[in-house]
Amino acid sequence: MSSSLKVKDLCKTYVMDKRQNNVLKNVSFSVSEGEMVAIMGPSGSGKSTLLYTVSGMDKMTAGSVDFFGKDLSSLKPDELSKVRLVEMGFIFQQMYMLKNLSIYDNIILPAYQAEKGKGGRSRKEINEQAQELMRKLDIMQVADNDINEVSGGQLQRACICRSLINHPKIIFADEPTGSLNKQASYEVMEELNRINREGTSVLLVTHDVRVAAKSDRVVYLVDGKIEDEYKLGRFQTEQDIRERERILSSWLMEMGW
Amino acid sequence: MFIQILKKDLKRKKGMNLILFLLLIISSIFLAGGVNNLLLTMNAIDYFFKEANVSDFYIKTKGQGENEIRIEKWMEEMEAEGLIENVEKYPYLMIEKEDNSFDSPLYLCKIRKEQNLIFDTDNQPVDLKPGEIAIPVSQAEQKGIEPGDEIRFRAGEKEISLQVKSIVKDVLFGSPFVGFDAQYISEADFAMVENALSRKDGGITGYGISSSDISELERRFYNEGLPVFTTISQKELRTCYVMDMLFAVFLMIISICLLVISFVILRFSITFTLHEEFKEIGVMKAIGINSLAIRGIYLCKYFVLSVAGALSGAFFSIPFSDFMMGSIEKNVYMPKAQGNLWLCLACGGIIVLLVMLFCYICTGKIKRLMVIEAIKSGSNGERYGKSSPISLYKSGKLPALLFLAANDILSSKKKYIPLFISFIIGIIMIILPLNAVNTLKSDSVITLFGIAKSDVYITSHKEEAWIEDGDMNKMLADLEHMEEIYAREGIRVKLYSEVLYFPYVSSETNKDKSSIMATQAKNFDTENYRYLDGEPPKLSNELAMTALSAEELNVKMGDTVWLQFAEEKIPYILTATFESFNNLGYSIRLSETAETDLKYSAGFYDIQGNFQEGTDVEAAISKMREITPDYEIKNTRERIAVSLGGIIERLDEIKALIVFVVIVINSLVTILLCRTFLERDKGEIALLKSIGFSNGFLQAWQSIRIGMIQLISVFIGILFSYLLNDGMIQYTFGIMGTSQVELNIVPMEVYVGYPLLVLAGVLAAAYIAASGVKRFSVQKMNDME
Repeated sequence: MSSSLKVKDLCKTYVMDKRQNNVLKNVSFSVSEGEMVAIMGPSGSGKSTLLYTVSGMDKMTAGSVDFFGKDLSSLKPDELSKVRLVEMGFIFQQMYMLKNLSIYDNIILPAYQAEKGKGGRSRKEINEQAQELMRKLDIMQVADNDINEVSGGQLQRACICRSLINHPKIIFADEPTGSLNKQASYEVMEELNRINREGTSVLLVTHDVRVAAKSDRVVYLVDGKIEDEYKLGRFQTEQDIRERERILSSWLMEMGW
Repeated sequence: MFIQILKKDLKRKKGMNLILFLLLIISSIFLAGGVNNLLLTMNAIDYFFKEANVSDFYIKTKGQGENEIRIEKWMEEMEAEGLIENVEKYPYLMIEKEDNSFDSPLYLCKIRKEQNLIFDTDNQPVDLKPGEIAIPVSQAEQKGIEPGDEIRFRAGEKEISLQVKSIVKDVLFGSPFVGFDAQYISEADFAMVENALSRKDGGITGYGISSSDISELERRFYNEGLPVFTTISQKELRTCYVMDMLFAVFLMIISICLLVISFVILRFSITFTLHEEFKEIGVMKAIGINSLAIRGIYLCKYFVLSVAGALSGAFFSIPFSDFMMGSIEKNVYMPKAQGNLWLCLACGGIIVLLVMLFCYICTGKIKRLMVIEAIKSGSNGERYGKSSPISLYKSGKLPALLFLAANDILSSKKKYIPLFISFIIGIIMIILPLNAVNTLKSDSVITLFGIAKSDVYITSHKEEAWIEDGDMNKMLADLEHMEEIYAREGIRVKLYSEVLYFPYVSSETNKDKSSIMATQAKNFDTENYRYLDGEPPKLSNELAMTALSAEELNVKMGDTVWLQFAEEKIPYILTATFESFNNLGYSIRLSETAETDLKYSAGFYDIQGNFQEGTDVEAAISKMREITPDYEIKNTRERIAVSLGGIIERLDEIKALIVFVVIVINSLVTILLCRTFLERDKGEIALLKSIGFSNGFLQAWQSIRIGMIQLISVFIGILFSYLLNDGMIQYTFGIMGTSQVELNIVPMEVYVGYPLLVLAGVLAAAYIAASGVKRFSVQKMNDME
């Protein structure tokens, strides 16, 4: 499998009141096409910063991020925005959506914005795809609702729909189940695994062993450095999950989790 | 503690506080400037009248023979009866245009010593030596004359040259609305010119009269039927200066509009600040600080801001007021402006009081706030009604950018009310005055001077001879001859002239005689004039009069009005009413066939002419100037400028000032509100950034919605202006003696050009303010509500 995301010697330093805070220190890793990688680590280890930096949301201080042959550090802000809009999908712990739009409009908005230019999809195609996604994620019944009229699980599934509307090559997920109850978490992970099985790479940050156990590989971050990584292999069926969780937990224990 | 919190607040909300401060300064400048100008103008005119010792009644008669004797005899009788206290006689010597270098007839007179005094530009009494001449400001401006210039003329056989010593403020001839001219020379020169002129009875004599009972004197004067050229009472003279007052009122209206905008913005900023600081307020309440003390913190901040703003505004209003008063001061003897600073400070004090009162009311929310509500940031989680009234997927081909902007406005209408109010007031502030200014500047305004609009206006100075000969046929023959001269050079123009009379007028219900100006056009159909009501007078016993005259005489359409030109009273039927600024709104129009005698005429309007259809008017006028260089030939615009004097220039100044102020205010309001919207929307901006929306898109989104609000406000503003046009502008013109003016609306300029200019200013301000989206990082998503 070829790499979709190749991170090399990535550094991120914040300067506050003339004091430097090195959050990421020479981080190198890669995500292959169709792979699901989980980033774990203690609080303050730089997991979210790593996710925001490799996805181009935040500027890197040094190093490089190669995304399907594009060096993200060399792109201009507008080019980077376009890559994020068309080739990346994002899911956040808080189900952020525009409050003045309905669930459906929130989902199609990035696609309507991306439609511009040659080779773009028609609005009819976008709407067909949005409806298909919403049916798959079982939220079609709340399409016209306001964002405050649906449950947390439904809202997160709507966020997943939004992240998928432009057929991204990779999905970045920051604690996607962090604000959800057990059942809703399970449903969201089901969807992420399904999307991943369909070929979309996923890089997610999580504290939850049950979530990480469903990924192919786990990268453990401590104090801005990759301490180690563990290859779990492809998650196939729910029957394996307990065994994967056990293995992952014991490795995490070794890591000092 | 207050100082500490205040310091922190001023530092943290620099932008918002700065813009509030600027708005308060601008409001103070305009309020203080407006009040100052209004009071100064009112005082200045009172002061000028007092210092110049304006006569209670002024009479001008033609000739220095029998007429003079009759008037002086009557005045002696009145003096004996105690109705006249003092009379000053002013003989005028007229030098024809062709005999002087002044480019129009000279009416030379001695400096008045007792009444209607004149002053130089430093407000000092004028003293002339032989060889010197003084010219009133309005004439000097019109002809570009400056001190030191030379004026040459021929009196009989003598060639005389006088040097302009002073440009003078002349209470009698200062306003263009008075319509009289005079130039001042020394007593020695006057005697010399008088001796040199062979024809003594062709002159004019004026009398300044002070009276113990002016209304009784006026009544007696009009009942006597004396042969006068024109009269003007002090009250009438005062209304000639109404234009100066109008500009001051105009400024006052602008300042009130600005104050309203300031208060709307102030309310918005207080509400926004309270919303932002709900938690802090809750904590303060929870630890036992009472509401009044918490309110005190906010009141303290706005007190500091308003005092600083009002003081600065009061300070800047002095040069502003001086600038606005400059053109009035040129013409009017004004008191030394010692009280200005105190007046401006008082206006500043009023603003501080109003701001504090307003803030006290707005911060009342703090008192009603429950601790728990405040700690929860004022939200109980409930939401009523749908947030999105329109849908993106039903929006057809509408770009996402425009949809987001429109959706924002429709979803949070309340949030944008301050912008709507400010923008609508701004648009009304532009449209109403511009319509008034354009009406005053339009060619059709000529009809308001009782003159029909024509292509060309000629002053030939044949009028004196026509009056002297008293032969109407001679006048018509002269006009025909002039037409032939022009026709020989290929210019086909139909000339006509309007004769002025001052007959005594009375009616069935108002038997008191009063003198009203009457005009009669020869060679020109009365149908060519504009009428308010009724049919143009056609028969010899029909007439039209201004609505004001009809009101004064208490007559309606079809009633009989008596006109007395000589001894005999002639009945006329009123068939129409019309409008006129002339003679302060009082005048009569006779039919072309009415039997009149030029012997009794008081003068003529210009000779007017209309070219054959298809003629290039400007080219024809310049050719006419070459053919008859001795005539003064004007187009409509130039003719209006003569009637309105320097007012046209001031109208342009006012127009530019209003547009500038509206753009500045709208831009300031836009920047302030845009910044607060950015602060409120930072979560959503960060979210859109994170999922791939570019800074350019976000900046455009924030600016376009402001542009949309401005555009909607333009439409609402136009609608309001349309509704207010009639009331407000007609009222303004009503002050000048017209009750129903046909507005000259230039739609492309007023409804498209200037609103587009304001829109461009607002969009530029919004775009600059919205550049703040660049500084938001995705972490700001956590600030989403």
